[in-house]
Amino acid sequence: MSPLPQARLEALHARYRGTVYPLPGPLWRGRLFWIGFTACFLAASAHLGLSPLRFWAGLGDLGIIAGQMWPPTHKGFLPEYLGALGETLAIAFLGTLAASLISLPLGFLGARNVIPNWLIHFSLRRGLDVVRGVDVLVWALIFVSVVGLGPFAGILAIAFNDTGVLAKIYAEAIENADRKASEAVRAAGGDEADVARLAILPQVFPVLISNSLYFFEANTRSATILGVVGAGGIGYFLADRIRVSAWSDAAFIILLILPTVAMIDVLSRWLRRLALGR
Amino acid sequence: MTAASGTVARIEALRSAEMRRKRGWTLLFGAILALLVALSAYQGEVSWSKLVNGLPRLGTYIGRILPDLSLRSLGPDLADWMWNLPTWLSLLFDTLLIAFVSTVMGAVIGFFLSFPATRNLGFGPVTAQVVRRFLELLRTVPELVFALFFVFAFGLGPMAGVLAITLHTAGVLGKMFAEINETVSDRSLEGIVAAGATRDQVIRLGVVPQVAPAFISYVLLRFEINVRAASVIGFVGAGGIGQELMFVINQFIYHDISAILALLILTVALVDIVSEAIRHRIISSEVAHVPAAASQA
Amino acid sequence: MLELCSLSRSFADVRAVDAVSLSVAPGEFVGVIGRSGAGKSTLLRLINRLVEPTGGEIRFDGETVSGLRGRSLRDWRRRSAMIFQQFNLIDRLSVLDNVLVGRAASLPRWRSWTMAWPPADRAVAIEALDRLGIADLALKRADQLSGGQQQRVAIARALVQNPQLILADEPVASLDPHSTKLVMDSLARINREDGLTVLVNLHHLELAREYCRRVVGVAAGRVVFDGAIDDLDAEAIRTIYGAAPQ
Ligand SMILES: Nc1ncnc2c1ncn2[C@@H]1O[C@H](COP(=O)(O)OP(=O)(O)OP(=O)(O)O)[C@@H](O)[C@H]1O
Ligand SMILES: [Mg+2]
Repeated sequence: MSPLPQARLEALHARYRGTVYPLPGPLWRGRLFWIGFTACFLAASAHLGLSPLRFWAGLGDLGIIAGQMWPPTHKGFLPEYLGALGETLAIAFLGTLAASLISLPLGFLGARNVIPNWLIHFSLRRGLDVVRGVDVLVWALIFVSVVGLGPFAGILAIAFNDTGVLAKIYAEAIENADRKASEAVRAAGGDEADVARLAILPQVFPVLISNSLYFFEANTRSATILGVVGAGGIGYFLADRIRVSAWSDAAFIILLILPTVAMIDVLSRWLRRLALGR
Repeated sequence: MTAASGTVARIEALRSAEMRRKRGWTLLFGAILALLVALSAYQGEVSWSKLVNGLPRLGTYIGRILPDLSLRSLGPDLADWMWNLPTWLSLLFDTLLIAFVSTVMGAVIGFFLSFPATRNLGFGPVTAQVVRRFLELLRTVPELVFALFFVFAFGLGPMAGVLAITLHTAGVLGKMFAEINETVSDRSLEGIVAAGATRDQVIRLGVVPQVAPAFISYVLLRFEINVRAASVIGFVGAGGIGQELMFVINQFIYHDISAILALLILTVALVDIVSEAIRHRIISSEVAHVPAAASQA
Repeated sequence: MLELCSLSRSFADVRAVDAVSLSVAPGEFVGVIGRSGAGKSTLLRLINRLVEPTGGEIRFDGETVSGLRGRSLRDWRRRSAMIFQQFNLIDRLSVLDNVLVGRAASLPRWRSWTMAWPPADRAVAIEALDRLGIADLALKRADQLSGGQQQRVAIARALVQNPQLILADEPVASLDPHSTKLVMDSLARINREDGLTVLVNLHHLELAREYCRRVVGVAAGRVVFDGAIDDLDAEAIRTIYGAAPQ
C-alpha cells in the first residue's frame, strides 16, 4: 500500500482523533505504568542486594554442586531414608485427615445458611483467616517448641494450618448448596440437624472429598520440608545432608522425594475422579 | 397385577443388590482407611498420651505468648510489646520485596516457557513434553529446598530466597499459563496466520491479548502465596522476617513471638485485600465487555 | 494470474479437493458454489496455504507458490488475504489493532511486539476502515461490534495487507440480509476500484447471481462447472447440488 501523503494523515487525524496518532492520555498512562513498574522492580532488587555479578558467581558454585550431585548415593542410609519418607506420608495423611474432620463442623458453623448469627460467622471466619495468614512451617516451628521435636509436631502443624483453609472452603460449599433440597427436608418436618445431614451433606460431600484429597497432595509436598525445622519426615535428612555439603546424598534424597510426590498426585487424582464420578 | 408385583420384586431385588454392593465398598474403604490411620499413627509416633499431654501445653504456650495489654495503660503496653518495631517492619518490608521480585521474575520465566509448553501453537509434541517435565520439576521441588542449595551458592541473604521462590513460581505459573493458552480459540489465531504473521507475532497479537487478564489474576494470586513463602524462607537464612521469627520461637522470647506473628498476619491480610480488590476489578472489567450485539449464529 | 494445476487434498480417506485445475485472471470476481462438504473451504485454504496440498500445484504470475517456505510463504499469505465466515478477529483488541494485524507481516518484529504501530500504518488502517464506513468504531473493542461490522473489520484487515488476491470463505453465512448486502457490496467495490482478484465461497445461488460474473461449481472435491453465471442452467445446478437443488 503506497504511503499516504502527510496532508491526508493530518486530515484523518483531525477527523478520527486518537487513531493516526494515539491519544497522549492512554499512551502515557501505559508508558508511565511500565516505567514505574520497572523502576520499582529494579529498586527492590537493588535493595535486596541482587546483582548480575553475584548471580554469575553463584551460578558457577551451583554448577560445581550439580557436578558433585552425580552419582546419587545413600551410603547405607536407605532404610532410614525410606522410614523418613513413610513418616512424611504419615504426617501428610494424618494431618489432612484431622483437618478434614475438624473443619467439617467448623464449616457448618461458618456457613451463613446454617448459622444465621453473623457474630459467630464473622469471628469464626476472621479466626480462620489468621490461621491461613501464616505459613505451615511457622506453625510447625511453634508446635516443635510446644510438643517437642518429631513428626507429632508436624501432624499438628498441618492439621492446624489446613483447618483454616478447609473450613472456609467447606463453609462456602455449604453456602452454595442448593437451597431447594433444604426446603424439601424442612417441609417434610425435618429439623436443622436433619437438614444438615439429609439435604446439605450429600450435596457437598463430593466437594469435601475432592478438596481433602487435593490438600493431601499439597501436604505431601509440605511434609517433605517440615523436617527442616525438626517436625519430622524426610526433610530432616535433606537439610542435614545439604548443611554438611553431602551433595550426592542430597541428590539421592531428592530423587526419592520426586517420584513419591508424583505417585501421590496420581493416586489422589484417581481417587478424586472416583469420588466425583459417583 | 402379577406382572406389576413381579416388576416391583425385580426392582426391589436390584435395589438391595445395589445396596449390598455399596455397603461392601463402604466397608472396604473403611477398612483401608482404618489400616492407613493405624499405620500412619505408628509411623508418625502419635499416641494417646502425647495428645493428652500435648494439647494442654498448647494452651499454656498461647497464654505465655499473648502480650500483657491493659486498657488503662494501653499506649505504654503496646510500645512495650512492639519494642523492636522498626527492625521488624524493615524485615517485613524485605519479605514483601522478596515476594514481589520473585513473583515478577517467576512470572516472566513462566510466561516465556508457557508457549512452548502449549500443545496447539505448533512447537511440536516433543518440545511441549520436555518443557512440561521441566516445569513440573521446578514445581515439585519446594522453595525451601531450592533455598537450601542457593544459600550455599549465593551466600546467606535475600538473593538466595528470591531465586528459590522465582524457580518455584516459574514452575507453577508456567503450567497454569500453558493451560490457559490452550483455551484460546484457534479461529482467531488462524486469522493472524493467514495474514502472513510469524509464530511469535501470532502469540503476541493473538494469544497474549486473550490470556492477559487470566494471567494477571494468577500472578496476583501467586504473589499472595509468595508473601507467605517469603516469610519462612529465612528459616534457612535466605532473607526476610523468617530468621528473626525462628530465633524468637527457638529462644522462647514469648512476647516477641506474638508481636511478629501479629505484624505478619496483618501484612498478609493487607496484601490479600489489595490483591483481591485488583483481581475483582479485572474480572468485572471483563464482564463489562461481553459482546454488545448478538450477531453470530 | 492464479493457476491451480490438479490441486488435491485428502483427509484420511476423504478427498476434500480432488484434482482441481482452474485459472483466474487478474481482476476477476469468481464465486465458488457447492453444497456443504463439497470442499469449498478447503480449496480457499489450500490457496492461502493454511492447508498443505497432497498433490498438484498452485502458481501465481508464473511463480510456484505451493512449494514456498518460511519468509516467502508468509509473504504469499500476506498477498492472498483471507476472509472467514466467523471473522476470526481478536475479540479483546481494538478494531484498529485488529486491522493493523494485517500490517504485522510488513513491519519489523519489534513493532508487533510492542504494538507501537507507526502513524503511517495507522493512517492506512483508518483509511481502509473509512472506505468501509466504520472508521468511527476504530477505538472500540472488536467484540463490541455487530457481525456485519466485524466482517468489515476483517475486510479492512485484508485490504491493509496490500494483497493481490482476496479469498473470502462464506463471508456472509452468519450475517443478516442487511449486513450481507453491505459486506458483499464492499467486496464488489474493492474488486472494481482496486482491481483485486476476488474468490468468494457462497452458499446462496442468488448472491452468486447478483455479484459474480463467473462461477465455479464444486461437488465432492471436483470442479463440475466453470463458466459465466448466465450459463448456469437448471442442468448445471443439478450437477452441482445433486438431486435436491436449492
Ligand atoms: N481438517 C479436516 N480434517 C478432516 N477432514 C476435513 C478437514 N477439513 C475438511 N474436511 C473434510 O473435507 C471435506 C470438505 O470440507 P470443506 O470444509 O472444504 O467443505 P465446504 O464446501 O466448505 O462445506 P461448508 O459449506 O459446510 O463449509 C468434508 O468432507 C470435510 O469433512
Ligand atoms: Mg466451508
